[in-house]
Amino acid sequence: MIWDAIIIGSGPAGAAAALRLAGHCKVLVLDVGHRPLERGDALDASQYELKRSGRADPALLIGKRGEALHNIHQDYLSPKLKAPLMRFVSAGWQELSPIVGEGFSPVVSHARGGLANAWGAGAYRFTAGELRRFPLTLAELEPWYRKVEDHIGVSGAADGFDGWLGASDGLLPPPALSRLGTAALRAYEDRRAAFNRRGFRIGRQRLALLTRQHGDRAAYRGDGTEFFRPENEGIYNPWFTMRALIAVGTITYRDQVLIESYTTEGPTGDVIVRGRDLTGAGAITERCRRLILAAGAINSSRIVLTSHRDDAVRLPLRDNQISYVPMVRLRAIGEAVEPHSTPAQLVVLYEGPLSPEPVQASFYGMTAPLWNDYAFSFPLAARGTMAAVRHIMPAMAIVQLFYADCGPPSGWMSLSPDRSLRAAMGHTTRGQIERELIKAFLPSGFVGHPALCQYPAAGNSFHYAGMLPMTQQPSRFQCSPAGELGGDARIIAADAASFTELPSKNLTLTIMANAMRVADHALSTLTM
Amino acid sequence: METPETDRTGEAAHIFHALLGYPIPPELRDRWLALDELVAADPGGALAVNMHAIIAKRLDVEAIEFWLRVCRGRNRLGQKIQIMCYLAELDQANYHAWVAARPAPLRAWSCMAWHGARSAWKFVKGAFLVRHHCLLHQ
Repeated sequence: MIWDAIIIGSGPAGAAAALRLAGHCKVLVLDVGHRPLERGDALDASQYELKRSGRADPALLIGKRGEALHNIHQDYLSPKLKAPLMRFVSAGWQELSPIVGEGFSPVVSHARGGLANAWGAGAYRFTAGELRRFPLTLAELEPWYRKVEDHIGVSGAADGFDGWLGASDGLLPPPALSRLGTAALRAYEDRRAAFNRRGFRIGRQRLALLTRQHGDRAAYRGDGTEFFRPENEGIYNPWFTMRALIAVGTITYRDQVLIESYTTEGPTGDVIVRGRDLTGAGAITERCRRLILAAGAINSSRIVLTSHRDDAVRLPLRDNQISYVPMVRLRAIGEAVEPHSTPAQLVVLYEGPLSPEPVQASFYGMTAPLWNDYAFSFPLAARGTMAAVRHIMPAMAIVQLFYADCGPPSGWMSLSPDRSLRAAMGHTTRGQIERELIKAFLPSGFVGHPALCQYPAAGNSFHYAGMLPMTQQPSRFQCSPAGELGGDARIIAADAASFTELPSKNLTLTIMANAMRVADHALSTLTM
Repeated sequence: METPETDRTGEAAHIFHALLGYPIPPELRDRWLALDELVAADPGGALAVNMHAIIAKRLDVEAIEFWLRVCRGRNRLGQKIQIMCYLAELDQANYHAWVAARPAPLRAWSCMAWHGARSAWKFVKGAFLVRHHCLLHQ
């Protein structure tokens, strides 16, 4: 059988490409497709309510054998990936897709839905300025942004941040702010000039989080269990799109398949896709007219490098390096917890002399993770840390900064002879903007200290891009503006591997919009 | 260094009592024992501590851990205390030890001031205990 299109992967790019192609041609989606062990239905209330009522099942929150506590012995692992039911997101990637990192600690996902299972739900459009080195304009992406937003449901407020987050009609109402988020926004509004002088602007979040029913998906409950409960219907997950397309029979989905390489038959022939059936059934081969690479930027690049059998070339590698700035609102110390709130409260934007590119940040409350993840950061003896958790955590916010990777790429990636990847990442200077942010918030009663800021190793943002960048005159490892690798219309890079640069904001919405755009182009070449 | 003979039950009882001030409930002790692989893990990198001496002499684990955390970084005792904190956090009986259900700002500030002073004392005590009882493996 010859498929019109084979899509590799079910993350944001794969789901968006499938959404565009489904019903128009014969589509096969190949995916490793790790799935959650269970849905975590027992986590049906906020974690505070669960703990208070004695229904906080340790097996679901920390694991029967403490598998969610491995952060105690091992390196930093995002709280979003630690919980027992969420470990499927990054399960087994070191065995299936080994990477030797130098200054780079990536996480790769082979889960259905991809790394978007651990998405903070930030749904932001790139601006014309952020697309300035892409060989496409904002006008070309805008219709696709609109389609994606309509499909996934995006909540937000028109509060003067449209120039940065993208003008968007059809937003769902924004989620209610917590007391802390309200106080931070009021602090900004009261001292707007002072914040602006330091380069900061603050506004409401734009989130792929439902504040009311959207299609067959229920609204987000605000119970803070998204770090523990997979595939929360209130927050968009690409698997929801795949699931719906599979249900109506417009795509064929095959999981437990690891695609390793492809070849093309002559200059105009079919694409032969090769991989392994992970159930032990051996090698698999499929044939198609268009191959859509949507396995995530790192995995798609691995497939390309393996297919070209090139272990000499170094592909560019981009990553949003991150930092965390904890701050405490002194007046809120001793307040009661708010069992129901949205973790991501506000968007903070820095544009100023300390960074050549804008730096975007998210202001988070601390309701979602287990509080002992942070307790031992307090400079107090153990019982003091317990008291600090009780009295200070409701007053505590974390601002997570994302640094852009524009201009020359920060890192590179290559294929080793043993088919593992080598990836190296340079150092992004961090610390200055964090200090300015602390100073900006201080007069409003939010207290932080530079010594308490954390700077995780590169790779911990899960935002990877730029290995097969789009350009007008693509070489072998570059894409045309339509995502065609080396200009070959049969191989299309639909994920962030084709991004020319990596701005500081979450890239998921742009991955989806771009994947729909290139899939639309692929469809047009199929029907010509 | 951890040995198979390390008294996990005694360890759990001692650490829990130091943290919560009452005897460890049997179900929590069983959960601790079920985490034996994690509790006993010695992946390297963390400073080894003479747990046997700490348990046998019923030394102040809070003071020792705080001094080690400040002066020596990652250490085995700190890891054990952190694991116990996770277990206790999920136990209904300790809900109010971690979660403020009602606002109490005055109590919160006075409590934190007291714990600041108490932590300073624990630091000094921890330094003494570690040196006096030779708790660090050379």
